[in-house]
Amino acid sequence: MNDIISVLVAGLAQGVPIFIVASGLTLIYGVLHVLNFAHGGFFLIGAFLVTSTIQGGSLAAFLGSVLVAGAGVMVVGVVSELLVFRQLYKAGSTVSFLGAFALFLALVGLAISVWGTNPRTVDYPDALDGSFSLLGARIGQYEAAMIVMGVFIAIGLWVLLTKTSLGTRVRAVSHDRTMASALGIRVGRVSTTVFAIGAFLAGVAGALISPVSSIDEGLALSTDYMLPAFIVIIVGGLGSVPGALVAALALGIIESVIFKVAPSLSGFSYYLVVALFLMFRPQGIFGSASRSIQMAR
Amino acid sequence: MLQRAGVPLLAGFALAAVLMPLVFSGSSLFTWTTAAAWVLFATATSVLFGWTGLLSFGQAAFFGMGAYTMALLNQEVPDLPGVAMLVVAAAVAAVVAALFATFALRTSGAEFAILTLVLAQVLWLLIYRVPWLKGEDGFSGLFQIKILGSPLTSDLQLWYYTIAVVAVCVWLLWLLSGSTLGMAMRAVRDDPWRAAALGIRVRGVQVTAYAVSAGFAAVAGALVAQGQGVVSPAMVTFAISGEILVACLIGGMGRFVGPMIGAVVLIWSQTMLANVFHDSNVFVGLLLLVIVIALPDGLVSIPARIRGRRRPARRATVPSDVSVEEPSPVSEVVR
Repeated sequence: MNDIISVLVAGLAQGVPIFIVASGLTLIYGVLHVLNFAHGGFFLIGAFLVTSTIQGGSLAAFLGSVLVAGAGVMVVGVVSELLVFRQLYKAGSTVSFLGAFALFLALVGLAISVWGTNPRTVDYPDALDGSFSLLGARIGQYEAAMIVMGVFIAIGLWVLLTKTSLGTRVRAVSHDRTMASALGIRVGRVSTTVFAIGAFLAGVAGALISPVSSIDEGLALSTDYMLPAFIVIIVGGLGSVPGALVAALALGIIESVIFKVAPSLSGFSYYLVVALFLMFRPQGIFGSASRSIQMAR
Repeated sequence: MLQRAGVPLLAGFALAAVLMPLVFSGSSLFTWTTAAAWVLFATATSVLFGWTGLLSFGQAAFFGMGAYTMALLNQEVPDLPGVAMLVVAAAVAAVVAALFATFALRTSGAEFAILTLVLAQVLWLLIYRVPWLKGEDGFSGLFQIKILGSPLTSDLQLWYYTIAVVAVCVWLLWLLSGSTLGMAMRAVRDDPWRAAALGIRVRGVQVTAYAVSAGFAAVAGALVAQGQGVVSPAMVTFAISGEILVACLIGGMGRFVGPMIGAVVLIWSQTMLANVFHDSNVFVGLLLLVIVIALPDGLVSIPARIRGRRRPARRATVPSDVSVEEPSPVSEVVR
């Protein structure tokens, strides 16, 4: 019983940052139809920004630098949307994938030339450096805080997308871009806003994992966070935020269980899951089968 | 007829093979040797992007697979001739690629692009996880590989060997490009629905293209490994996957020679700018961005662009000149 709880909590805590990154990715895909590889760069820059801005070990200082990291990455995201993706929108999806990949390489390279290649670390905030017991299981305070953070962000996104006028416009654009623009929605502005939100989330996710992980170039496509996030948006269905949530948490828990049962397989569970999905449900949990998928069968 | 059989292509390679050692020597000749291997890598990659319209952001996987297969063969059966090792490396990569593509092509467009990237990163992870792949240390001593019974001892021998292998492989790809299969690949790129209606087995053609591309990319990786003498995880990083896209796009994939020119330009500019950019990611990323935004059809499109700009008045009166505005060779993938 104790084991089950601690494995579940560890899995959820692993799933939360993946969800935060993946929700931004899937939102951007839904609105812009761009697979934003550059998200890996955003994530890396978010983590690096914490190493530079954090002052002292208090919880307030940590949360402050998380917000600074999110805001900083948001600026990077808006600039790249205006400079790169805005130019590529008309050129078709292949070219914008290439543009996103180019931006990814450039951002990672720039981050490395600013912060160097030596791995950096961030201490846990003092208030979250311990553990407590829940029904007899030892739970790390930081893991618990991560889950709370995930709940906040999930609720925030849900309110934003379903209860606000911006959310209605975002859903309209992602449903039918042409029709939305015919109805007077300023599609360009919605795209930039969504990109800003996605980049902010990637920055926050990078900042949140900074105490847990060593921060270096490898984080940009790390097998713990970024690749699972890409897999999560496939498994959840491209463009679906609830799908990303379910898939991220489920994969986090699966990974955590496998780590407990068969440690040598850990790190590979995501790929097994995605292989199974491709065999039986290539459109993902919440996706609808597109024409090309139907043809592929 | 000569053109179709690829005679000008082989003649070009023969000319390069003879001329380069007369002009260059030492480390410059070695750079040309590396560039030759990348010429093959770029042409192989263009089978996917340019001919079949498939995206692959994980070409480093097959490049690295070739290099690692070569290193393992050299360790286990050092007496095997080098050319046989190349064939094994190509076969291994082609089989893995065909298996992967059979699964991954159940999706398309964005999902497929993600999966190719994931494949390369999984291989990179495996190198660190599997003990006999030696992680960060990598392999060394690939100079010992025997070609025609003895190891290559000088830059000059390495150059002749590399350019000969590359010439044969690129020639095979040229023949493929003109064959029925090559036509089918282009049909699949331009309109998979119409291709399917014409009786082309779209999935079969795509999987074949993926396997062919992977096989020749592996040969290129093996050649680079043999030239360097060492194999390390750096050959499987996403930077390599990005670099080969840059090579393809600089040249432009509308023509067969486009990626070849791009590869030479890339390797030489990297060598010459090595002092300016310490991290090649910045260089590759920014270059790719500039190309994608400003010159999506690559260097080979420049003459047509200049002509198009110089004759704006005629274009209005002569309708046939409209073809100056060539459509982008990178075609839209149906989603």
